[in-house]
Amino acid sequence: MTAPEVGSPAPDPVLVEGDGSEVQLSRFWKDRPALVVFLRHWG
Amino acid sequence: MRDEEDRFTPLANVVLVGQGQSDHARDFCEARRAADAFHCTVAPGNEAYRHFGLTRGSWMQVAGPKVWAPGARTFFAPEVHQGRTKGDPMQLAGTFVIDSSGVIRYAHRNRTSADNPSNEDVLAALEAVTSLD
Repeated sequence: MTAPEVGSPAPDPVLVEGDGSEVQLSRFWKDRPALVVFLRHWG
Repeated sequence: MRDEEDRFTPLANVVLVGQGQSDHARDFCEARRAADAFHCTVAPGNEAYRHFGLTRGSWMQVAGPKVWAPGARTFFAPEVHQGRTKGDPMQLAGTFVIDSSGVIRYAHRNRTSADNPSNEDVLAALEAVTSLD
């Protein structure tokens, strides 16, 4: 899988929210920019 | 970043993506009272990490000498309560700014477990995107 670069479309994977519901990542950039932070661990 | 959320949330929807189960995300956000500020999510099977080009690190990247000093600073910082890693301990982190048309405008893929971008760099990227959006 090739890493997407700056200027290219963002991937739109499915994530799971705290209540267990699924959400497409794109939902978070529909109305304004999104800052997406991938963590190594919670805490 | 988590202690300066009020600098980020006016500029963007902030999405935290972690490993593990959904209750790990929920518990983290509730404990930090961050549920209203951040969207806390998990990536099933770490697929989302792969989509964004975030790889598994080597032992040197995750626990080698380059991460000892910053790791010690984090461990002893009073405001940080490092949790046990859920999921793959070799998974590296990353930070991305995506504009409202779905284009990546900033990408930082951690080269080590301690290679986090500065808040100022991320804020500058957000402000640049916000000025264009």
